[in-house]
Parts: sequence; structure tokens; C-alpha cells
Amino acid sequence: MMAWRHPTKSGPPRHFTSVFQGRPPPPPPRRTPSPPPTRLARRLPGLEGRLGTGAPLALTHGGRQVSRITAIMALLAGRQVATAAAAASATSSALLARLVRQFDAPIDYALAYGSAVKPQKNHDAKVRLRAPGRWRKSVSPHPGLLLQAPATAS
Amino acid sequence: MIDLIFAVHDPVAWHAANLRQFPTHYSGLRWLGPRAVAAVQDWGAGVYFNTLVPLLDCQIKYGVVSVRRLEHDLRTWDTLYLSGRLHKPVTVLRDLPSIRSALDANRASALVTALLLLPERFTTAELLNTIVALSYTGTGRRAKFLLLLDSARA
Repeated sequence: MMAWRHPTKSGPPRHFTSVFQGRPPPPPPRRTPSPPPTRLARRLPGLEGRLGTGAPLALTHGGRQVSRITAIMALLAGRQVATAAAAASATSSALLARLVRQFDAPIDYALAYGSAVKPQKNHDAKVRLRAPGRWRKSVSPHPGLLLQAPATAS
Repeated sequence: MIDLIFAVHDPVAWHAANLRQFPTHYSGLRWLGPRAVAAVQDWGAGVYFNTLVPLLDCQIKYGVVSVRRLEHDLRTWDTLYLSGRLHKPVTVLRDLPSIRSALDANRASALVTALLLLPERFTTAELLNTIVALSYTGTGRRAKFLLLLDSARA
């Protein structure tokens, strides 16, 4: 049986063809289902794509996942983590130091922040929560929160 | 604009000396004398800012805070104003041991808080996001926060 042709179009409409041929219409092209939005994406739409989140990060010890509480207790015990600020200055440190020296009034503590400071790009410091003799966690930290392992075990 | 924070032990004496050296850095408040400036400084977050100050061919903004108030905020998050800034990259130009230890406590607190806010498994980006977002929670400075995250990831 000949399929009906639309008089003004070169090809038959798909649904007419299908009906005449006794086949169900082809399903519309399927879209790949997008993964459910993560907590970060829900909080800050659009941010996650820009940051490009990597593989899930877990608190581990010897390849075994430990709980947050274990990690937090280790931190709170205070013996596991030594912290050190690390930031490469966008404005030269020498200039910043010269600026501070311009003031005759004694300054006990001085710091620069904001646009004068740029995070280090290739820092290799890690967050390490250390129980006596054991590493609990190692993650890449925020550059302003470089948490470094103590030189000696406590 | 280069942003600086100065912590001083005696704000009244410091402002008195600074008013003699750089009276033009101050607003009309200078006519009321160093005690008035120090009193105003004690309001709110405990920082007195002189802004748009030309110095050494740079334009700077400097905030003066008492060492006691800075330490208190770093350890207790009383206002989370300076302690929140110090969750981000900073360059320390003049150091003080007591503030260094308070700074360490501040960073450890930020990490602990972020771990509490995050789910059991999280990505590096989520960790950074949570830490940086701590001081922006409840404020309308989301755009600044996004810029900061971008620069940290660059």
C-alpha cells in the first residue's frame, strides 16, 4: 500500500507514515538524564560547573573511610595539626613591608589581605589530621587555610 | 587598593602618634583627638579604617585594631569580621606570637565548622566553598565570594 504524501512537502509526515505502515511512532530523541543536583549546586546554582568538582573526597585512613567525628575529634585534640598561612603576594612583599615601615607609630602585628594577596597556585601542602603515628586524612586545602603536618609527631 | 590591618597594643597612643604623622589620613574625627578615634574604633567589629590613603605611589586602606580585640575575635568569632577575613589568603607583614596561635585556632575552627556543615563525603571544591563561605553567610556579598573562589582556583 502506498503511503499518503503531503501535497506541499517533499517527504511524508512521520506519523502518517507510521500509521499506514502499522508501526508505532518513533519515540522522541531521548535526552541523557542529568544527575541530581548536588548539595553545592543546590546552594549555589551555576557554581559547581565553574569549579568543576572532582571525585568525591572522603576522610580516609589507610584507604578506609573514617567518620567526620573522628577527624574533628582529632583536630580538637589539638595535637594533630600545625597550621601555617601561606600566600604568595600579588603585591611584592618588599613593597608591603615598606608601606608598613612608613608608619612611625609602633605596629605590633600587620597583615595584607584582599587584592594585595594572591593564593599560591601550586602549593603542595595538605591537610593532615594526625593521630599518634597515623595519618587520618589528606586533602587539598583552601590556599588560605594551609594546614600542614607538624614537623615532629606529638 | 592595598588592604592592610594593623594590630596595636595601645590604640589611643597609636592614633595619637599617627595623627601627628599623618593627620590627613583621618576624617574630621581627628579634631576630637585620639581618644575619640579609639572610642569609635571600639564600636562594632573593633576596627578603625582610614581609606583612600596615598602612600608610596600606592593607594592603601588600613584598619587599626587592638591586639586584645583581634585575639578575642580570632578565638571566639565574636564578630567574625577579622577572623572571617583571616580564613582567606593573607600576607603577614609583622608577626606576633600570641596572634599567630590565635590565627591557628581560627583556621582550625573554620575547618571543623566546614566539616560539620558538609556531608560525610564531599569534594575539594565543596570543602573550599564551605570554608570561604563561612564569613559570607547571611551577607549579600555573594558576588565577591564567587570572585574569591575563582581566584583561589585559578
